[in-house]
Amino acid sequence: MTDLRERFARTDDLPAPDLWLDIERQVSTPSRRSPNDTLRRMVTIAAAFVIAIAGGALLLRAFDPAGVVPAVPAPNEITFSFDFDGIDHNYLSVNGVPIEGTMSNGPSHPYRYEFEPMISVSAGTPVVVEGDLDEIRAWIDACCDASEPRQRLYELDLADPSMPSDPGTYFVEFSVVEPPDGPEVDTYLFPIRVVATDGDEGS
Amino acid sequence: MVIDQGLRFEALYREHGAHLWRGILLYAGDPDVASDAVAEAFAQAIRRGDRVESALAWVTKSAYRIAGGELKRRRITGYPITDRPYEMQLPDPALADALAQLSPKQRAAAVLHFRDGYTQSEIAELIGSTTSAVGVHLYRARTRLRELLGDDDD
Repeated sequence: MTDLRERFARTDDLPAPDLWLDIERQVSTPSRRSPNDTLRRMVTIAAAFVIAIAGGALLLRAFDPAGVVPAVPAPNEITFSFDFDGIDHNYLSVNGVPIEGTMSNGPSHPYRYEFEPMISVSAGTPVVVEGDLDEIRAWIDACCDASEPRQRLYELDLADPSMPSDPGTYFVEFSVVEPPDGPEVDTYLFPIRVVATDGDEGS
Repeated sequence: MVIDQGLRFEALYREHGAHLWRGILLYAGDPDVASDAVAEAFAQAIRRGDRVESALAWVTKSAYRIAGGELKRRRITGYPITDRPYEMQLPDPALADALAQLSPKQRAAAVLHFRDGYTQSEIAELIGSTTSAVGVHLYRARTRLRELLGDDDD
């Protein structure tokens, strides 16, 4: 078998262009950025500002005193993110707005994490799962007694996932391979209250 | 002052520029992105002059970040050198085909670790990530490359 390092070392045979003249040319010009780039940057900043204000307003509306996020009107979207890029990781967002919450585990379940608070969404809300889908599986579980093992109602089709169509409370369960030192499957549970589009919270 | 910095960084470019370009090429899969990223990184370093202390690390970090930005800006989602093999003779086409199966961050981690010998924490600093995230990228990259190439790097 060939060592991966040897294979990568062979790539040093690849001819590389001499870029020094390009570098000198760039140094002699103030900036590579074109007027279009500047305009694009200004538009991006303005758009980000508007989105930030809208997001803040939505967040203020989203949290009620009981700590349960009310359903947002359709069309909406709930995103679960497992891309593990960065410390300030947001696992959950609704309509693109990150949901503040805690992800805690216990000594008896070191690899099982449960999100708080419970999120309320409309029945059939489209779901987006971000991350390496080869390493992720998801289920809709019965919620929220402490029985073990949890009752898995059905597996989510990650090709076209959505929230249950029946109102009620559920766990959305994810198993994610997280191998800092080797293969390890972590479980993430998100308590979800599914309400009918007319506001009926079901049983 | 800029002339002095030019001499300083030309020496650095002559020693490490081609190696860095190949690394960025393996990461981005696009020779144009690699050339733009390396040239821009060196140009920025020269403009900063004395404020750049660890010059090679600074240029490497900048080149990878510029290349990452270019991939997004140009909406490059594939791995062009495997789609256009007539543009350059790759020493190991199988490796390029395997790298094409990885995500950009997995490719960056693999190139910087297996080719350049950086540690996980060093890679995290270079590509603007965390050590644990790089560990995940590297594990997945190694596993996938072994599957595709049948290699053993232990």
